[in-house]
Amino acid sequence: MEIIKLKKIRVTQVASLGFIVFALLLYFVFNPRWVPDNRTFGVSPRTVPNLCAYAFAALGLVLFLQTFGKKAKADTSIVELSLQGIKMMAVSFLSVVAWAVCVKTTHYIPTTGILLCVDMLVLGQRNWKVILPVMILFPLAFWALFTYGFKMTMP
Amino acid sequence: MLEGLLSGFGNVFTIDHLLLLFGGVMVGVIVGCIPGLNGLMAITLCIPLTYVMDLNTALIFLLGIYNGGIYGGSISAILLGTPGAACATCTVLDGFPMALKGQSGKALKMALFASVQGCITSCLVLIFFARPVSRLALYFGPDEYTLLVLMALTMVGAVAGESMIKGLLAAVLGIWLSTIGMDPLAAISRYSLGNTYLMNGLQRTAVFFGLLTMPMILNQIEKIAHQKPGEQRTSLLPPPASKADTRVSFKEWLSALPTMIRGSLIGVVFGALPALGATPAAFFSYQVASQHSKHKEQFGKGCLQGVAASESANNGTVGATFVPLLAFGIPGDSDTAMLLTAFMIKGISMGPTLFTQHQDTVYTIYTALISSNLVLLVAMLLMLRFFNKISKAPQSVIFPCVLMACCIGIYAMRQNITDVFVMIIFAVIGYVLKLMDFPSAPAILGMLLGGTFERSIRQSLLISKNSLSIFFSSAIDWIFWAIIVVVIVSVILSRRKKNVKPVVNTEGE
Repeated sequence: MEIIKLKKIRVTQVASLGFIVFALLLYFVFNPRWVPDNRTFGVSPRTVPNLCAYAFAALGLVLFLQTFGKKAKADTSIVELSLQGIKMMAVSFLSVVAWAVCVKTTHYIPTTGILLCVDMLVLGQRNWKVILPVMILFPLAFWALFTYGFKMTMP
Repeated sequence: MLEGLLSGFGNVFTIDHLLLLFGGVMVGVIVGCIPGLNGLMAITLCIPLTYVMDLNTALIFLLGIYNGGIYGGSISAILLGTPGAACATCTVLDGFPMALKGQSGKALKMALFASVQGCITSCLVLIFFARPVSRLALYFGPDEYTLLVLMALTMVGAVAGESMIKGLLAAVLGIWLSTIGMDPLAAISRYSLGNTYLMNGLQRTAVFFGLLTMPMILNQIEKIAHQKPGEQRTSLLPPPASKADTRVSFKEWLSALPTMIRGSLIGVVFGALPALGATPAAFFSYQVASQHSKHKEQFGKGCLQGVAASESANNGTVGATFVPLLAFGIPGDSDTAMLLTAFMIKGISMGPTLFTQHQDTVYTIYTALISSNLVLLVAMLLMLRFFNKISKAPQSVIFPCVLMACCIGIYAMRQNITDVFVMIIFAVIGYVLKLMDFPSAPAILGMLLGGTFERSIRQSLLISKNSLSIFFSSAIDWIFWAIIVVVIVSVILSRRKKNVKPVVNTEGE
């Protein structure tokens, strides 16, 4: 099985730099600059976003510097992901995306049923005596609950 | 008081009312355990049914739903790793890993015992200390609220995950996420990019599902790839190795008792203070329990005390949220706000006059809350085995169903498909954060408390004319500062000493 390996220390460095960049973007680009700020702490809609930007920058910097410490260098742990696992995750995740995209146009019951079936097949279920009842009864049960129980209109 | 309580119990303990209480509890539990739905929806759904009931009957029915709804969230949190209600989010951290070890029965029972214990403690506080506790809440000004939130976030951020800095970064991320949308004090929109959806802020439950539940499910799916062909068709949760895995022994209950009592009291404090609620109480109690435990390393990997801490605290808020409601007419959370609406429909106005004008109603509320716990305990002990059957479903069936249930539940909350897209976006962010070892619990707590934090800090600075001295102006402030410093120093020292072992593993493994 093909495995992707990432060094945790590198991942942490990337994350810490990401937070520093995010802090700069927040402070200089995204925080609403048209809002007047007070001189000291600034009691305005920018107060807490600015505090968050300071905190992101400061904590990100500390985290980045920590990765050069003796203890961090001694940490040789890695993040492992199998390609097959990533594919399975991707298909399951895409089924959620597909549900959100299609549910309004192709309606709730067929969309949910078909995507459930696809997901079950991808995850290794081959028994149609299990797949068929689940793909029919699961969406129907929720439809009945929401339509008659909660008086909601499912798409 | 004793006379009033006896009269209240007399009201509740009739065949009609007990059956109605049972029905209410079961409606609450079933709705509560469906991801995305919660007790609030069940109460809303059932309010029209109370039009034909008299006041006491309606109170008993609605309080049964309220209580059942809070407990119901823990069932799916333990069995599926997906909290039925937001307040059970913390229960996932240890409940689901326990279920993955074949101890779902034990986890469900501990959740039940802790819930009942938490709620009864909270009700007793309500009965005996409603007035003093409501007076305590009056001492909390904006500066105290700011520091309370800061303390809760520091505690959770500092001890969650492998690194304190990562935990604190996650907490700040949560606070920042809460700032998206319309400013709470000035009508200015932030980070909304002109989008009307973002102007209303992110839907919290969608974000929680994205940050915590989806990465957990995706992670389990990734593990399927490592299994031998055919294993995917085996059940998600392994069967219990022995009978001991299906029950909570007296010894285990006794060892979890201090955690439950502490959790209940944390729940009482968080419940009595408006706008905090059950979810932050559960996370806070969980972190306090992990700090006090002799087996810190077991937290997050399927620790019975973790389940007890979370459940006792979130149910501990139940009685306490009635303190501001009964004393001042201020609902502590959205559920009690809906109950307030139902009471008003019945012609009851909450507030100081309630204790003098409708004393019998007050005692019916007290006794209905306690009785609903007893009914919950008996009903769930008999029926847990049916809920437990979910654990026997194959993982190749259960994961697709859970993913779809998340989508349907999130959509159903506001019938807004954008909420599902928000969940999807945060699922990606959550998964990346998980890969980088950032704990999600502080981010969730940060988002929950961010609004309170922002309102309080700005009110404080406005009152003090931008002087930071307001945050050192009362004894309560100093107590909070002391706790913050002690927590940070103790975490740094203990990690140096023990060569850094995670206190909490939020990956659910």
